[in-house]
Amino acid sequence: MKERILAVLVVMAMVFALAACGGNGINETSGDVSGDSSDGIKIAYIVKAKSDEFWTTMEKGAYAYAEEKGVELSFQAPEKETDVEKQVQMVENAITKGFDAIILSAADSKSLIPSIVKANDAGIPVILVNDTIDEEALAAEDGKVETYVGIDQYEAASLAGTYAAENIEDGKILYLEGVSGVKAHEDRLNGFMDQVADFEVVASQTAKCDRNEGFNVMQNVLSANPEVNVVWSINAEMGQGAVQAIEQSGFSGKVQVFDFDATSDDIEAIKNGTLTGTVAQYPNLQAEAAIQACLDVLDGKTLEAHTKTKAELITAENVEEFEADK
Amino acid sequence: MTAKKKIDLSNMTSVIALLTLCVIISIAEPAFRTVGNMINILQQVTVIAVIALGVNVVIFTGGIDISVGSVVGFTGIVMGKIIVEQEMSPVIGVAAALVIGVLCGTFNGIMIAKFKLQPMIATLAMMSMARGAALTLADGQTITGYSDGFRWIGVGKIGGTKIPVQILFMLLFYILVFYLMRYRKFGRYIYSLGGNEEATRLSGINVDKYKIMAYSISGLGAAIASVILVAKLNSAQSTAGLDYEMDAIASCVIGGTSLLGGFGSVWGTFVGAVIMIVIRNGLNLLNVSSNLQKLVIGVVILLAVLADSVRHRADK
Repeated sequence: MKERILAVLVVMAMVFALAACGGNGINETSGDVSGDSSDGIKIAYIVKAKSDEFWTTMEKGAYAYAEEKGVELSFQAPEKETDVEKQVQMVENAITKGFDAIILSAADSKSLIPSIVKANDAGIPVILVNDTIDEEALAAEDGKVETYVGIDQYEAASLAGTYAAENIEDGKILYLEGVSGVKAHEDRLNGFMDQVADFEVVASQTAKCDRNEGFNVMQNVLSANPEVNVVWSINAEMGQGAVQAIEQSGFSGKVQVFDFDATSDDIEAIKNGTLTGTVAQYPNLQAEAAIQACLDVLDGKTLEAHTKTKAELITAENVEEFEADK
Repeated sequence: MTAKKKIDLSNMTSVIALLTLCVIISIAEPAFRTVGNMINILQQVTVIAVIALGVNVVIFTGGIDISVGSVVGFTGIVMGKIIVEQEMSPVIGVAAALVIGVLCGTFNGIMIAKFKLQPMIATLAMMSMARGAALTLADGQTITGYSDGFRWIGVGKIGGTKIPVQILFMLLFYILVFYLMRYRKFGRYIYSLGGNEEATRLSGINVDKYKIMAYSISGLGAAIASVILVAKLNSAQSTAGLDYEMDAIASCVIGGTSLLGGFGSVWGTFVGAVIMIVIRNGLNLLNVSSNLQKLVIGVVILLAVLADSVRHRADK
């Protein structure tokens, strides 16, 4: 009997916890929308995940700017970046619910195209942010996006590549790749690679954008190729994993690591010298530009195909300015 | 007696597979057999081996636990919050992580034993709840900045050697579970439960109690893995442990555990986990694309299950 009571109590606690979490979710998504402010513009902002600093910074920037402009915003994301199917559902739900515009950071460069076409058919403008999609495939389906807001991934990565080419001699490089099929990841890889054509490629492996995998791959590569002296990681998580592995394998100071995103871990690592450079892409500025693009389109303006936002390479030389600006 | 013979046999198959694998990789890439690389493999295997053993105790009962990856993420975030943000002693943080891990497991166990939920469904719910809790608590932030004392768990070396101390924590957990499974009635009941639950119940054994304990041990394994992971990477993230349940279950299967329950060994699980890591390590050293790595691991799982099935047929 005692056990049964205990069990019921545990269930109740869990249900309560669930209800509490669920409540938040509803506030963030449909709650904002179901209001009857017919004159307010409603924007669905659908990204790939909310699990890291990049997205949460973007989310905060988006809500701040939406409030400033009096826009109703619903910022949504699947649990993980690779969950393309869930993202497709989110876009379709947004179409059904009748948002005025959809801002999308596509989790896959092709799979979201049918959803974009559906939005087009419903007369809902789509603005891409941070991630581009396969433009040819979109054109083939007669689909249309208003603009792509974001940095030029290739150009941004080449900032780090150029720095590496100028400052490192006899580079022997390890590339930590991202998810294959994600155009932004491929652009980041190529942007760096094209600047350091005379570096010897020791290995090119993906670590699934995960920190522990990044650690393991770095450790494995160091034991087969201890001469490696440069690492380019296309995201911050793998880059931080590599930094830890280098430190723990006793290679501190022998390998220069560059990564993408300029998270607070990255900034900390640059200050204590374990990371050489990181590319900042200012997600808050991207969010502002994306929402502004929605407003402009709904105003009847035509936008350029690419609304470029700021990217910068952060190294020990400018890390303090970057922090002060933040 | 026959059960024991089977266990030995299954152990041998995976050990032979591991040795063959090592020989092949050593020939293809000499860096594989360096001492440094062997230590790397041991270090990389601890997290998955600890999770896998917990899951394996559940599988012995004929159940399954797919919530462990999420429990790794959840307990890590709670611990990070306590140690870094509340600035409390790491001892409290680690204790909290272990207690929460066990509670998550116990909750699974109660749902399954008392409320008769399917193990897959109950732990699927926990998988979602624990990950959701981790994401909500962390709010996208990575929690970093631990004391050296805490980080010693993940990066410390055993005095004077290059052997990471995390291996000791793994061994302690293995020895504990091995002792329970081999020398306590707990182990006999767990195997018997997996072999024939109704018969076990009819012989007067409190089946529910042992089932709940099995899930609690699985939760404990996930929490221990989480502590090691956070200490090793100096960071807790809400996405930590994503998909680890799959690696854990694969390790059990490769190590000769039958998903039908009632059969399999503690050390076989360790060998299974080592095989998984050796494959990844070898393919990294050889710079094989990771798309191909997935394929190779899939084939290995298939072969392991086939070997298991063939062996069962031969026994009949």
